[in-house]
Amino acid sequence: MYRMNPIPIWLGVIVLISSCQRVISVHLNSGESKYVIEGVVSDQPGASAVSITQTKDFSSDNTFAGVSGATVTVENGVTIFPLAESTPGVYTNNNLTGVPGETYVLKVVINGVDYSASSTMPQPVGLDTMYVSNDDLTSRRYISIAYSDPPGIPNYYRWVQYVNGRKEKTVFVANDEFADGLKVHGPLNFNNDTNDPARDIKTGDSVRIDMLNLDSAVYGYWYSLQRNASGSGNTASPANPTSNISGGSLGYFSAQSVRSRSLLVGR
Amino acid sequence: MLASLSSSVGHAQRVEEVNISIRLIHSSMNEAILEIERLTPFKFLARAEDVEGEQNINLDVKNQSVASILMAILKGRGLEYKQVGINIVIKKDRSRKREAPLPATEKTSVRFAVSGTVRSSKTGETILGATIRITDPPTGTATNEYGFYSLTLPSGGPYRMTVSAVGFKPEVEEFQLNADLVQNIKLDEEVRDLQAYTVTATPGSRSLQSPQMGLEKLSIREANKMPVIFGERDILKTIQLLPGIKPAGDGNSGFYVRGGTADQNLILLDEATVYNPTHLLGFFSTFNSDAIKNVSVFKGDMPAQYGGRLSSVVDVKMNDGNNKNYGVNGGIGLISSRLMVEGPIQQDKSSFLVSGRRTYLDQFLKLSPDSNINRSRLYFYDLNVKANYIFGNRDRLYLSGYFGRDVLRQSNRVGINWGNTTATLRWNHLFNKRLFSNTSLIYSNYDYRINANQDGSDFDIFSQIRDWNLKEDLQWNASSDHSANFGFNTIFHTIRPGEITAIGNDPGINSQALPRRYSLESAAYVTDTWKASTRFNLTFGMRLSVFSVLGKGEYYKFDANGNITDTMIYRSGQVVKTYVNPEPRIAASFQLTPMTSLKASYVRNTQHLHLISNSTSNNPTDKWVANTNVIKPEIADQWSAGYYKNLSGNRYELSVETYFKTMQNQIDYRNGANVFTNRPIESELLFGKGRAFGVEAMLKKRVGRLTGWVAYTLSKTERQIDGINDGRWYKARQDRTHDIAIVGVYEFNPKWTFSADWVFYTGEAVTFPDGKYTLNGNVYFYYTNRNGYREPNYHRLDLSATKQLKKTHKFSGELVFSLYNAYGRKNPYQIDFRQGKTDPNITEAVETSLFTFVPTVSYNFKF
Repeated sequence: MYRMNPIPIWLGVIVLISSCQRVISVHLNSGESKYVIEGVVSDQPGASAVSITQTKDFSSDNTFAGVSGATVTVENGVTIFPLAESTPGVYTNNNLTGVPGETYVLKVVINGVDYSASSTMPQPVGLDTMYVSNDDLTSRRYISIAYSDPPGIPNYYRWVQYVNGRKEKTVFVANDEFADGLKVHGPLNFNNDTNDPARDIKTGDSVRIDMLNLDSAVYGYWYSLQRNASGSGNTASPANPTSNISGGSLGYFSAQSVRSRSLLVGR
Repeated sequence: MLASLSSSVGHAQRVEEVNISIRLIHSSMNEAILEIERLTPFKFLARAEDVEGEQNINLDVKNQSVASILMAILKGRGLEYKQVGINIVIKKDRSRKREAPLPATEKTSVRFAVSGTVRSSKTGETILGATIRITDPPTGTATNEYGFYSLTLPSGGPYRMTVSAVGFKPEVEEFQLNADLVQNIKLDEEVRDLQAYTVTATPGSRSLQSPQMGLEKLSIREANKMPVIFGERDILKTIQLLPGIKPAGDGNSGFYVRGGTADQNLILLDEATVYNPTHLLGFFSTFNSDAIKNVSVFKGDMPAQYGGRLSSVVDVKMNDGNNKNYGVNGGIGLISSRLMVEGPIQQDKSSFLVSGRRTYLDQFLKLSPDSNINRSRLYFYDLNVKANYIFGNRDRLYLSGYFGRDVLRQSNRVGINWGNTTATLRWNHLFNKRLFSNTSLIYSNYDYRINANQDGSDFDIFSQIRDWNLKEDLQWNASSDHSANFGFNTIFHTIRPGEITAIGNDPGINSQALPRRYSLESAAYVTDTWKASTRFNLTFGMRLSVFSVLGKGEYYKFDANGNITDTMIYRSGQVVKTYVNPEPRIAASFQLTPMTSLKASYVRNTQHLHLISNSTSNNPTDKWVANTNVIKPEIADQWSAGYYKNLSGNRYELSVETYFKTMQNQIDYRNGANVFTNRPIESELLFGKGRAFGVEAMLKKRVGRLTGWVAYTLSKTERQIDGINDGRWYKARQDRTHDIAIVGVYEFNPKWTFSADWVFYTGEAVTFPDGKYTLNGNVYFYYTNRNGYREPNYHRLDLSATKQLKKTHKFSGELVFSLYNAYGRKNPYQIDFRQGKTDPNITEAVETSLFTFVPTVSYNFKF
């Protein structure tokens, strides 16, 4: 299920055999700066937050300052939770813990401009099991997972892997389009972000997998983000993912239920 | 050859002073000249076309001056001589009208047809596109794709008919026409070491008279001299050196014609559609040069018998096989080897051919001690077969087939194999001397199968497009002024977009099949070529294209955001939607002088099958999708005009063509489209219009030791689609401002031939980010403008040297050395943007390039 299309692997092999890579300088225009809102309501206490940043020019550094002074609220139809700025650009409310099945509405006002979004938190699905597996082609070790997809309803998942508390960058999403109601299993082929063998999973590492249950719009956001906005030159139409936030910002608002599992890597 | 002229002026003897004895019986002028050269110090210079036709010289003289001998043999042939040093220049006598050597043509209203087949005298292969010329009255034609010609002339004569073709010596026939006449012609292959007096050889490769525009023809003989990559000759790569046909980049066999996309090219192998003409993810084409006779590329101005694609038709014809002798030829290269066997079935009449090719890169993988690598597979193979059989004088049956497969497999985990199968059964029938019929039943199939077996998830994915095609084409040589072409074809398409089969007890995936799609694509056409005068020719016609989307299945209606608003269910065989499109075509040529002509044309084309691929490289899993109720036929209208001139006695050909094209119902992807889904594909697509214009110029040197061409294209192609770039016109990905190709082949001596090509083109229009932002701790990129940037310009030089090894009557071999990308230019294959590997606080652009300096050597043999 996870590697449906073997072409990229082989293309990779051929490219490795015959190619060379080099950093080039490309003159890129300065885009008009936009706000980026990342809003999460989690069913785990303390995990809900809204962070606001801005886009930068390509040639700038990767330090993104938060946008302060915004008015941020989340409501579930009954209660309105005002979010206060806890660190610059990050807005939180300790009382805001989501409940699966409920719909949440995010409202943000930045410099007099309104942004809003809504998201419904799916019922949580967690991992049945996780274990360490070896890749056939490389000597890398991966975490394999198994979960039971609930039949009859569409489900959208995202997994986040932490190795010794450090989050990996690979965006890993799946839906049950081809696997509705099944016990699904397979490896999560995370690549550590520096391709540094020292950071590969090894004996003694502690690994945690968060399984995020998303709604359809947020799944679509992550799918197209990793495919079309991660900078890969292989896609013919790079584009910004469709945001569920109205008002003209980038980013997304997700009410998500989260289940976690950890293991200690043995021999 | 002209070079020796000046050096020897002065002390040379005069033709009046040299006496020889000579005896000529039914000799040709060539033979007479060679004989005089043998007996005297004189060297002759002449234009081949002036002297080649002169036959039947009889002379028996003793001790006469060369001057008087020349007078005798040139008399009455409209030729004169002039001495320049030791050279004797023979040329057409322009001072007076040529004496009619035979009684004048009787002008009667009774007309007869002369017809026949033109073949190679050596192999018996039919020759396509051979030129047939009649001197008086000046008229002519060319052989069709089966080597057949027919000409209608007033009764009487005598006529003098010159038959010529690229790579063959011209042949002259004289005949009287008192009834319909069959003249089958055999041409000898052109000998490479040209005789001293031959300045020019065959007439132009393209016709100045024919209204056909935008046509590029290439025989495999020409293609075989070009530099190669990985030791494989590749006809699809070679045509990309022609003006207006632009490569899609390294590692990609796709090409763009006149601003169209890669899927707007119809690629035919013996009339059968080849849906994926690439091997090994685009590095090779499916056309094995051993089995190919020639290729014609129609750049939008398709004759009415072709249809179904907007931009071009690439019509590849396979060899028929040698009907005289058994032959074997093959090649051994670093990557692959080839073997072909051919021979007669009926001596001098019919033949067969079997040709195969396989790569063996994977055999090197087997050497690896690592069991994961040595169990991996990476290869492709091809098999071409063809046979023909003659029944009586009027009927000929051909059966040809192609089978090809690519296999990639990573250990036992995941693999894919894909390939084309085509089969063509053709029946040529001559109803009478003027009506030629070709009936074909054609099968065409492309499929791929993915097999995955990893960690408990075992499944197969299968996808296929399959055609059954019945085609009837009639060529009617109605009169000396009119030749008509009419017929029909009908194709039944079955598309299986994807079928997943779960294997085992606990596969982790559901078996499911996307519904099959059925459609019927039909067309009827009629076209007439009218020789309105000796200078003005007109082709006009109409193709009526009818495309029916058939049930059974569900079809959908969508809102502006691609959400389904309505579902319609159709029964098996029920018509979902029928699209009827008349496609008018008109083309005219006007010959200004014997060496120059002007042409203009208009054509409309429609396309009913579309390739969906949201990737920059071509993948075997790209999806062919037929029209639906939502996906409408793509329509292109192309206007073009051209100027053609033959220079320096046909040694050079200059052509300049310009076109303007508008396109409707063009397809592009929604931002963030996902094409790997079982939702209806229409929800991921957007539709709009396109426009393209360009100027293509080519100067070609066809004869001599140095041959080749310089081609330049200036072009622009844009799209306008609501939902992309706020509905503004934007550059299509295949937009290339400048495109240059220079090709040279130099025959140094009979042993060594050198060739080189250099290409340059403006980088592709691509989408680059205008900024970046952070989400979830990662850096992502911010885009504002589809195709708003360009990749760096592409340029490359390839070199090749061919050494002819010892050649005997039975056996010949050659060694081919080639160097691809000779100066190691790093051309962009892909440009990625990423967070810095060493400094995560910056972002950087990374260019991947393929193939810098690829040297290859291969050995080809023939016996």
